[in-house]
Amino acid sequence: MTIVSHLSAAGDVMKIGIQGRFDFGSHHDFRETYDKTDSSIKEFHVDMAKTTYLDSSALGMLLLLRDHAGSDTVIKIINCNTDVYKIFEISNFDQMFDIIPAS
Amino acid sequence: MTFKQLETAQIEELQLMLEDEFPEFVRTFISHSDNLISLMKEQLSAQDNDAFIIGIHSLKGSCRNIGAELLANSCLEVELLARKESILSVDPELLTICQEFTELKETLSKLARI
Amino acid sequence: MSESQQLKILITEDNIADCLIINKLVKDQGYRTVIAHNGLESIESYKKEKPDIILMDALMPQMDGFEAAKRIKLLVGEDFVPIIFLTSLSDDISLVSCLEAGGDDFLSKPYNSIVIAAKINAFKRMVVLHRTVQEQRDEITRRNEYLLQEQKIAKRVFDNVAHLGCLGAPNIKHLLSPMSVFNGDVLLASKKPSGGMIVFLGDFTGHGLPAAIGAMPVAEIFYGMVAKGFGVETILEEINKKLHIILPVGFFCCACIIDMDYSWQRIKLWNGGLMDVLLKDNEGQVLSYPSSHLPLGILSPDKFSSECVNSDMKVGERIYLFSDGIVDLQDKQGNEFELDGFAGFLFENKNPDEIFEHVIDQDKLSGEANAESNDDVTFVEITMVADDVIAGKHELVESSEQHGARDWVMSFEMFDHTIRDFNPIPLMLHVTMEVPELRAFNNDVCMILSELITNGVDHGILGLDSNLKITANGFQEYYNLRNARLNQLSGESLHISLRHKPNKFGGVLIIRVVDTGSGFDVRKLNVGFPEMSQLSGRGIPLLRTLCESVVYEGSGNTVEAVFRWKNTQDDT
Repeated sequence: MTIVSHLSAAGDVMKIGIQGRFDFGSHHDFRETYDKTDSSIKEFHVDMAKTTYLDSSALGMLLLLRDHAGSDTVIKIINCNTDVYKIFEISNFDQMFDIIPAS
Repeated sequence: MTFKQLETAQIEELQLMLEDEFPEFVRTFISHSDNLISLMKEQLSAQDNDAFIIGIHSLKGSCRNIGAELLANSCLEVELLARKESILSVDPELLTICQEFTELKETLSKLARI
Repeated sequence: MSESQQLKILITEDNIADCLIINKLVKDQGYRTVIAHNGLESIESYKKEKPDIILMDALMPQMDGFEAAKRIKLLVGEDFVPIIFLTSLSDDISLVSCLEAGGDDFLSKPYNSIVIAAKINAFKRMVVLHRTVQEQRDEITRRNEYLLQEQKIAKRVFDNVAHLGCLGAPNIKHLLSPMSVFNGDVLLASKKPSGGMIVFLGDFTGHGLPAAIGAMPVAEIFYGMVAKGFGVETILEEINKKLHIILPVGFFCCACIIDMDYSWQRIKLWNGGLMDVLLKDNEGQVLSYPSSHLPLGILSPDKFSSECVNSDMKVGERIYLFSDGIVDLQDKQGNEFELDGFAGFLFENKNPDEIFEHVIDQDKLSGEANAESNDDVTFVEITMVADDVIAGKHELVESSEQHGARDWVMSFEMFDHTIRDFNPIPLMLHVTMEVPELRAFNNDVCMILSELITNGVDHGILGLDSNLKITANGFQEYYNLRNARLNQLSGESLHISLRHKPNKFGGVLIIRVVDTGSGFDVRKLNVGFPEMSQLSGRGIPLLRTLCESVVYEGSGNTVEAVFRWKNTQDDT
């Protein structure tokens, strides 16, 4: 699993791409990506285009991101394939995050 | 000093390593090898091929260790003959070995001053 | 072998002269030596002296080095004792025989002290490494055993909390197949005081002990509240509140709760994060109830929704719940247990009794196919039954509560800011539920307390006019006014007194509420139910339906309601 992060030119949108399996082993790397950010980031975009697998610990990690970012920051989960989208649907995470399926 | 039957480098190294235990070593070598040879003669008469091979092999090995290359090679030839089960043809060869061994004994004794 | 203790090396050599040489060489390098002159002696020496490394001559009388090496390697077992053959055999086949016999290396004659030193050194490093690894492995095994033991003991405590309920009831079939000692799935079932049953299935994030530990407070809350007659919505709110506090961010519990009402043949269901709950009706249709809420523990109480789905369920119909571990079940061919397939299977299967057996078989097969499962597996089948099949209402009194409190008085008075900040209804309800027989009437008593107290505060102390609530806009205005007046309270109080007395027919609960408001004209009370278009004013007529009597005294700021219950054994 690899994590690729990218900050927009204006410094207010951070894009985090998860490549491979997003599971318990990803905890440390995922956290490191956003840990040092501050309130200058207004939006997080978590890109699931290359995510092959997602489990409940991944949901937990997204909750941690939400907790870190605060309720004013927008968190979008983008490019979800059908399997990934289904997991978000069952857990009703669309009530907490903007879940956007792959077009 | 060079010796006809001994590799100088090898025997000198042994001397260096054993120091004052060298004479004791030479005595042991001589008596054990004598023993081996008489055993081999018995094994020959009894036509005990396997035991003979062990004996000649052992003698060959210890000769290599002290640098007695000529004798070691003779042992090797006899060993090969015995392994081909031509034990009957070993007899004359054993004689040669005995002779060479006698000469070796003299050289060693002089060296060890015993 | 410590630093100060040097390696012990066994030298097996039949030629005495050679033996002398090699012995001196090895000793000069600082090692301890043991001597043997043939294969048999070598084996005996090994047993007695337990050397660290063995130098073995190949050809020897009595027993040669190859045979001795083979036997010694058997004795060595899983330890590591390298054997270095001493040989003047020169052809490759013989050297191969050395290795096949278990030899690790060989030294040729004439002996070279540098080569011997290097080889012994290399093997010494390997021996030390091997021993370190073995020690660490043994230490890890020991600690692991210890941890497992601890878990097993903890599990006994856990089971006593988590398994109080009625999972053994005839209309529930369940399969619990945890991945390890602790089950991260929690399955609870309890009979309701008013008849029927509530079932809860929770799947905590992760597995094992950290997942199971969240189940303990959940079980306590569940059994405590069901026994006291609380409804599923209230129970869910309590559980969510608790988990929200105790679980760290990122941990949650996917759950489903089902309230089975046998008398009305209805169910109430809440699914937050679990797979679709499936209901197979008597016509053979399969209905599904998907997850429509976030799992428990994520949302704060003010954002949490306990809204349930209602459905009819007739006698004989069955409902299926499972945690997601079930998708990991595989058969011998490695085919996964498909959820869509299961719904299809349910639909096709004509014999409902076979369904549960089929899943049990899948679980067994899966266990045989892959020794380690990836997740806890839980599967539950509940059948709707007629009310009379399950034991009557009064059997449910918890054995620890057989005596209960039936003859008591309690009063509670709140002033000013406390009236604004504290809602006394839950507390009053909990106290009244200490009367075991009142638990069957939890809803009724709750409504009575709620109406009396709310009336006392809103209309009595705050002087709000219920006519404001006639229009929809009026509601907003009403609550704005209410908040404003609550913040301005001074010198006001609300006094609640509860009294319960037993009698030979059963018992009676008397609730008196006194407020410091200016009262109202008692004669203005409507007797019948208001028109449906009116949005308020239902309180007092409703009270009169639930209670034996409701009497307003004085200037209307004192009310006494009487609720009577009868022993059912006396029913004819």
